[in-house]
Amino acid sequence: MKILTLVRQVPDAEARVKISGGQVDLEGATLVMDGMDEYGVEEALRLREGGAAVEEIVALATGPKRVEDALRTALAMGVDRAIHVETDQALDPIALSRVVAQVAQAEGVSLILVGGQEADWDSQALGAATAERLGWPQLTWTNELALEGDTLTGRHDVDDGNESFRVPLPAVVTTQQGLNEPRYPTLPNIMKAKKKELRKDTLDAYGAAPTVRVVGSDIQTRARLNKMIDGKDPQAAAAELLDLLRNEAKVIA
Amino acid sequence: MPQYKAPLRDIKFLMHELLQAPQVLAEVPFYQQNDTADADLLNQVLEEAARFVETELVPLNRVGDEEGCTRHDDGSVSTPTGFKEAYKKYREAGWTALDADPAYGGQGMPHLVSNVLVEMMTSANVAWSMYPGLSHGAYSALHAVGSEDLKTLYLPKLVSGEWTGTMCLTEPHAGTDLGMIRTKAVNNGDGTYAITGTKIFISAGEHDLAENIVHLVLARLEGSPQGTKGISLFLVPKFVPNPDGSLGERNTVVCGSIEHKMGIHGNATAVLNFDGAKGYLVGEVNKGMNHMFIMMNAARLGTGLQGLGLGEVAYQNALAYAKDRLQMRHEPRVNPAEPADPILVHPDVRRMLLTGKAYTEAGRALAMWLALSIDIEHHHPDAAKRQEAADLVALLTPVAKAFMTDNGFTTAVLSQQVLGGHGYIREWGLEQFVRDARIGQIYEGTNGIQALDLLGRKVLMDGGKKLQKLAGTLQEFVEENEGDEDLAPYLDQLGKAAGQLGSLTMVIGQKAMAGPEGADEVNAAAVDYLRYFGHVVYGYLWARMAKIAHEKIQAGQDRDGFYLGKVQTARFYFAKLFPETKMLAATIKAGNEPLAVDDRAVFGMERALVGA
Repeated sequence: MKILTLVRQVPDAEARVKISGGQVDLEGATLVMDGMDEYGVEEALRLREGGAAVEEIVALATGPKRVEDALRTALAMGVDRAIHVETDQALDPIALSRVVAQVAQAEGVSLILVGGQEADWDSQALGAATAERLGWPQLTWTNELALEGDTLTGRHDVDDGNESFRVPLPAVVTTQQGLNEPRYPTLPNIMKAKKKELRKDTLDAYGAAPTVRVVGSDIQTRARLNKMIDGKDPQAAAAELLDLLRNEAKVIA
Repeated sequence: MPQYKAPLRDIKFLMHELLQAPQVLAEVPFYQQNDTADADLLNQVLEEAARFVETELVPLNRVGDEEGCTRHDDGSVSTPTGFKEAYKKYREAGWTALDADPAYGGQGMPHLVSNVLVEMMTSANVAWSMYPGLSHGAYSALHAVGSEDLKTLYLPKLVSGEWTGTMCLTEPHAGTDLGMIRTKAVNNGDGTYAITGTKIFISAGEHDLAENIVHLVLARLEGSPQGTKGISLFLVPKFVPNPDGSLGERNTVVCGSIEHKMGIHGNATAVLNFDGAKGYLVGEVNKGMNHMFIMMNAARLGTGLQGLGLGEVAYQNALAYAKDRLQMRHEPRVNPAEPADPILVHPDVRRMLLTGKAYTEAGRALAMWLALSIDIEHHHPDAAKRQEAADLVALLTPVAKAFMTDNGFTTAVLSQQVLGGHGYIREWGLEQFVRDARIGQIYEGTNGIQALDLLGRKVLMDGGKKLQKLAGTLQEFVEENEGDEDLAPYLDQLGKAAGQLGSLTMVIGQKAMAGPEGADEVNAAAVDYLRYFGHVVYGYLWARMAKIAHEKIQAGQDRDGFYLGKVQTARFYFAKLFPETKMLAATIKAGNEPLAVDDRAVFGMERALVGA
C-alpha cells in the first residue's frame, strides 16, 4: 500500500508577520512545515517502521516555489518522494481537496494523512472534503494509530473522553498533537533527500480553482486594560484578582 | 526564561551574498564530490541545525547553570539533567559528523557550516556545546597527525560521537607557559607509553555523556629536552579499547575533582590524575606543541564563536525586553494610551542595543569568512590559494579569538544593563550570559596572549608580509568603490585607519629592534594593537555589508527592512564604535614608558624589578 501525506508551509509559531496590501506578507519570515503535517509524516514513517506493508510514502504540497523547502524537510525525515503542485494562487481547502483527491487516485494510495488543523487557515475542512470527494471514511483528531493488513485501528479524542475505532482502508486520517513526537531529520537523510524525486506539477492539470478569496487581513493587537487592584487589604485584593481571572479573563475555572 | 532564535536571516545573507559561499565551494573538488556545496542543501542543514538547537539545547541552559556537574566518590561525574539525552539526540541526528572526513564516517560538509552550528550552540547553551566542541578538536588533531592505526580505531568513534575527546595542556604550575609542564611519558617498549602527571582545567574531562573519553595529552618523554621543544602529544583513552573498538580495561586516568567556576557550570572542568596511564604517541616525538596547535587554532576560533554566540543571545533578550518594558515618557509620546513608553525609544538604550548588534553582526561576518577560508586552506586544488587562505587564517585567528570574546562580553554586559535591576536577577538569564561570556577572554590563551601572538608572531615575525596582503585587500576595496557616495564616509575612515595601522606597526617594529627593551615595547602595545586591528577588520566587513545592502535597497529589494537595518548599523558602527581607533592610536604610541614605573614606589616591592 501507499501513503500520501499532505505538507503545508506556514510561518514559524514565533515568526513576526506583517500585512501589506491587505495580505499577510511572509517576506523575511521564518517558514516551516506545519506542525500538524509533521505528525502525519512521522506517523506514516512509524507505520512502515512498525512492520506494516507500506510500499511507498509520498508527500504532496501546493503553493509557490518556496514550498519546496517544506517538502525537502519531509523527504529528509524519510518520505520516499514528493509532488509539488506549483502555484502562486492561494487555494481554499475545498479547492485543495480536489488536488489531493486526484493525486491520491493517480498514485493509487490507500491512506491519506492530513494535519487536523492548519496553522495557516484553521479551517479543519481539508480532510473531510478530500474524504467526501473520494467517498472514503474519515477519522479525525487521531492520537493513536495502528495498521494491520488492510485494517486501521486507532483512537481519537471526543469531548468527554476518547473513542477507539477500526476501519478498512482506504481512509483519510487527520492528525493532532500527541499522535507522536516527530523526529529530527538526520544529517545523512538530509543529504540523501537531495537525490530523491521532487516532481513538479502545474495547477492547471488538476482543474482546481479557489472560490473563497481572502479580501483583507489584520494583525490582532492586544491592548492593555491597565486595571489596578488596590493592595491595602491583601485578602480582598486576592479575592478580587481571583474574580477577575475567573469571570472576566476566564483563564481559570 | 531567556529566548533564542537562530539568526538565520543574517547567516544566509553572509553565506550567500557577502561570501558567495556556494560559488566559492563549487571550485573545490572535495565539496563537489561530496555533494556538499549546494546552496539549497546548505540552507536546509542550517535550518535543521537551528531547529535542533532551539528546541533541545535552549531549555537546558538554565538547568545546566543551576545544577552544574557532580563528581562522585569513585571519580565519575554526572552532567546536569537532560544533558545526556540531548547529546544522544544530537549524535543520532548525525551532527557530530557534520564536517568530518567521509573516510571515517563524516558527512564532509564545509567547515563553514559547522562554524555556524557552533555559533548557534554557544548561544543556546555554551556549557553543553563544549562537550562536542572538544571532541571536534581532538578529532582534528588526530586526523591531521595520528598514525593510521590510531585513526582507524579512534576516528570513527569520535565522528559518530560514541566517544568524546579532550585536550590536556594545563598543569597547576604551567598555564600560559607550557614549556614548564612536568607530566612525563615512559616508553613501555611495546608501542605504548606510561603517562604520569596531573592536568587541570580539562573541559569535558570527565562526564556521563559517552562511554569513553579520548584524552590528548601533552607530556615530556623521558630524555627529551626541557622547554617546549621537548613536549610530545599522547592519546590516553579512559577505557583502553580492544582492536575491534569494544571497551577494554579501565585506564589509570582519574578525575580528582571538578572546579567550581564563575560560569559554564554545565561543563565539567576536571582535574585529571594520570598514574602510569597507557598512552599512544600522536605524531612525532617532541613535536607535541606543533601538533596541539592544529587543535588550538580551531579551538581559538571556536572560543571567538562563544563571544559571538553569547553576544547574540544576550542582545536578543535585551531587545525583547526593551520593546516590552514601559518606563519613562518619551517626547513626543510613542504610546499615549500607556502610562509610559517602551524603553527602546530612549537613545541610551538604543546605543547599548546597537553596540551589541554592530559587534555581533561584524563578528559573525569575520567568523564565517575565516571558516570559509579554512575550507579553502584545507581543500582548494590551487596551492597558491591554499597558502593565501592559510595566511589569512593565521593572521586573523588571534583577532577573532580576542576581539570577538571581548566584544561578546561587552555586549553581554550592555544587554544586562538594558534590563536594569532585572538584569541582575537570575531568572532573566542575562547574568548567566555575562558569567558564561567571561571565560572566553581567559582560556585558549588569554586575550593578552592572543595579542602577543598577533603582533609578535603573525605580524612582526614575517616582516609584516601577511599584514600587507590583508592591507592590500582593504586598499583594493577602497579604491574599487571610490566615488560611491553611499560608501564614501566609511571608506574615508577605513582607508585612513588601515594606513595608520601600517605606520603604527612600523613604529612598534622599530622599537622592538631598537634594543633589549624591544620585547617590552611589543608587549606593552599588543593588546591595544589587536583592538585597533579588530576595528579595521570589522570596518572593512561593515563597509562590504553596507555596499551590498545599498545595492539591494536601490534595486527595490528590501521588503522586510533587513538591508536598511544593515546600512544604519554600519553607520552607527563607523560613527560610534570605530573612532575608538583614535584613542588606541594614542595609547599604542605611548608605548612602554608609562608602564616602566618604579616597582618600590608603585607596587610596594622591596627592589625594582624592571622600572628604574
